[in-house]
Amino acid sequence: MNFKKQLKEGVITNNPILVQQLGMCATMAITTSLFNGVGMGLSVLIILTCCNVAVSAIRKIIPDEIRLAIFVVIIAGFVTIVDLLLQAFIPALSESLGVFIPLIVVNCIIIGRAEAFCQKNPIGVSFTDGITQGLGYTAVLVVMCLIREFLGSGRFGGGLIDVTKGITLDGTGTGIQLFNSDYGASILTLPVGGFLTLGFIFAAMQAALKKAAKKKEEAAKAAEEEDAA
Amino acid sequence: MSVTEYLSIAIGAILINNFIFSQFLGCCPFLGCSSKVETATGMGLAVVFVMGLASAICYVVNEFILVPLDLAFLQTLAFILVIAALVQFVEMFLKKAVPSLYSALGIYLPLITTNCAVLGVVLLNVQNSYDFLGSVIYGITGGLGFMLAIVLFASVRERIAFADYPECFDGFPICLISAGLVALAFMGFSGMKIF
Amino acid sequence: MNKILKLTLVLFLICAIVAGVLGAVDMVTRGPINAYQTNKTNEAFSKVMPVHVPEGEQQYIPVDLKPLGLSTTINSNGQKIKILSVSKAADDAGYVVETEFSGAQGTIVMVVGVSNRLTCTGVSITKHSETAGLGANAASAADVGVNFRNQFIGVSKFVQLKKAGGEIDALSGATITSRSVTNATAAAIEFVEQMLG
Repeated sequence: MNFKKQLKEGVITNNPILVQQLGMCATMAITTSLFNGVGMGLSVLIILTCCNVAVSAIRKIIPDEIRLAIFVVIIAGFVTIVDLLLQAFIPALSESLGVFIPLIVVNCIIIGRAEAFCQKNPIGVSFTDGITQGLGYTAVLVVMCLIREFLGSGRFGGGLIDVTKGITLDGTGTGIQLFNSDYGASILTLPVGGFLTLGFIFAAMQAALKKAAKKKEEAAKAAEEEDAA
Repeated sequence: MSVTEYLSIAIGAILINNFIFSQFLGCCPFLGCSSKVETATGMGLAVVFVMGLASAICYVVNEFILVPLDLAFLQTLAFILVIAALVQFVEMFLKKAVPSLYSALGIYLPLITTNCAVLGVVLLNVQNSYDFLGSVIYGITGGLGFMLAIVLFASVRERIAFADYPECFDGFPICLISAGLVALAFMGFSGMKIF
Repeated sequence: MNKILKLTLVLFLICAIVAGVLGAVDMVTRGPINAYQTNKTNEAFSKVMPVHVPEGEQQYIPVDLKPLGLSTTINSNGQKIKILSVSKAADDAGYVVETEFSGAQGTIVMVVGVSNRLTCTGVSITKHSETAGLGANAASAADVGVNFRNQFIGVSKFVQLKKAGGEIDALSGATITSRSVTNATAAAIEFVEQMLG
């Protein structure tokens, strides 16, 4: 398996959120500003990659009966490390993500990949799997954030980008105001908006997949007819 | 803490800050187990039970082991282990003692370990520094709020079968959209003051 | 039996390793986390009541509330406001009161500066979970938040929203948050008044 193929799988054909339907809670809860989305996505990417490597490294020595318990302990360990590091060095992010950082422990993506992929594959492939799946997760979060921020409050890149300061990593950037926030549909920044936005993204994904399948079918049909002729 | 404070924790957890509709905790089982009202009720009951017990045990673990030993950084690890063990234990106990309830809850019990509402409630108990009774009340009523949400939503979903919507919304998307509409209704409770 | 023993041992070993690693990480991060917390409190305090003392000296002296025997819950326009702590400014400019109350969505923690003449010198929200774009504006660093909070400078304990015949313009779409912030400001001034007797 090469990197390109894995990347395509992680981001599109086997996307953790849109195809495997895992880890929905955080996806809807924290995608209110680009800062949150990128921060959460990268945290999951790092934790996922570390857990993948660790699980893959010890896959031959752990007894099968208690493997889930061991996975959970390892995941909780990495999550706590990331949580503590964020609290210490990027406190703004830790504050705005709140309880959703420790809750990565029960994010089904991580235990799902450990169970379905890493306990059967060597370290190298598991490592790239962590990165590609993490990127797929981050991509969906970022798209959600962009849509909710833009339509909800007319902003782009809240927390991460500032008109005067450039890129801000401490979450103080006010973003670029594209239109007056009074005209935004502020329902999208509310919890309800999370459900609605994800619903529409899912629908768009399904429509696109269906269209692609139809095109393929038509092409096959055309080829068949050509053969017959 | 006074009785009114406990009451406002309870009402808050069920309606105002509903775990699913305003905090997004426990969305996976919420979307996964809500296709029929009966299964939703089973899942809801199991969650109420485990959330109440987990709140009580985790309070004790945190207050009498982790805090005195200055090991607060082990909270997440300790809590998830407690929950996993608890779910396993409840499963074994119900199988022997109340087989009827066990068969009713059936496959939902093991699923609860990875329900983020359960880990969420114990972490929030610590964050809000509730006392023992407050934690248990928050756990149980948070579970009741989850149950209310999932049962309501299951009834909505049974109606979706008769609805006419664009083809590409088939399956998961239409569920999310209708969940959003139910959440919109729950927003009416926000800002409600009890006492 | 032997097998169970082995399984327990493996699980225990892994738990021990993970706990050990976490302990090490905790040692590294504890300093910065504590520093950040103190820094944040000081920053919020100096926002509502700047203190002019030589550098390195303690700026705010916590007041021990227990011997005063006052109730730390103040009823303000029908809302219960908890007083978490009171600190005295080292240059005798007044007091900084830390309050806790429920807003529209969850608990809000806010510090209120109270001068010796029992007027508010400023408010600053340190913790909240209000709705982004609406109630959250009360804590925002953008103009809308700053303008909202600046209205409280100089008010007395009789402060009210304009809707209730007072002087404070509520944030648009966030009357509940605005009202609870107003109530908490009134409660903080009331508490200092009781404290000074």
